Amino acid sequence: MSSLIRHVTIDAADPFVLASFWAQALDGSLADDDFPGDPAAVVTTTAATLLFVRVDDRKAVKNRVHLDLQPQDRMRDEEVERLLSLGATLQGDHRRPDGTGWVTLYDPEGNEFCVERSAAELANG
Amino acid sequence: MEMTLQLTIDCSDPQRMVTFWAEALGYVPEPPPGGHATWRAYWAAMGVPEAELPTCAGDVPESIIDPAGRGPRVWFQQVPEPKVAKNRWHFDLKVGGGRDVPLDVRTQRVKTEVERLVKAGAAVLRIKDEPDMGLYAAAMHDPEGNEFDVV
Repeated sequence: MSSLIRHVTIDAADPFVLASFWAQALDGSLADDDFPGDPAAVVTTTAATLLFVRVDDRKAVKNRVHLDLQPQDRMRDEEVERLLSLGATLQGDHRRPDGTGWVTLYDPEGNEFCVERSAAELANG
Repeated sequence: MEMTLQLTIDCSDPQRMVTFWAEALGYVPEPPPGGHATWRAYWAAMGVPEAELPTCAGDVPESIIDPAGRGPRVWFQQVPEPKVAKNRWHFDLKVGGGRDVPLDVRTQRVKTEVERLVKAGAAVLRIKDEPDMGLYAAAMHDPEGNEFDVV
């Protein structure tokens, strides 16, 4: 027997606000019973379920767990622009002149995540 | 819009983490793509500069995948710095079956799984035994001290 990953649980100062960002980022859906100010919020995506829970302590150091996103139907750079417009901020630009590489962003509470090349860009080498 | 995602976990010993988490999740080490002998050889073929690859990086698989295709890929990235604070992201592992399952059955399932995970290298941090709340769960540490829960 082994375990299923039920949730990836994420500490948050404002679970609903952070969950709203990630629902848009991942094209997932917020649970119907989640409302602004709630102490927890759930985002369901095709790949994983994210549970955001309110904690009192603030983020103090770089996370040791993060998400890497791979766009499937748009290019990496388009996706980076979309995420920035949703409220992400730039942490580090690791794109190389030959088109390879990735971009590291912060979500609205400063959690690091990466955007990799899309499936089509990877297929083209 | 379609998006795939993977979880990346910083660690000091990828091989140890691959072994533990493959056992915990029923995952398998991910073989290198395209017939390459190692991931390091694959990365080199993809143009990753040698200077960007830590010593021994990719000599053995550092990622695990779900053979059933349900869960996300997990990559254990070797980093120089140690863990210094509680993680703000963690896994909840589901073995109990959910609230529709009687508490005594869930409790036994969690206990059995905790015992299995301890044998695989995890440690129990604390047990949440709260029958009034219909809850029996375990907070645990993986071999590098990353927090996770078994519910």
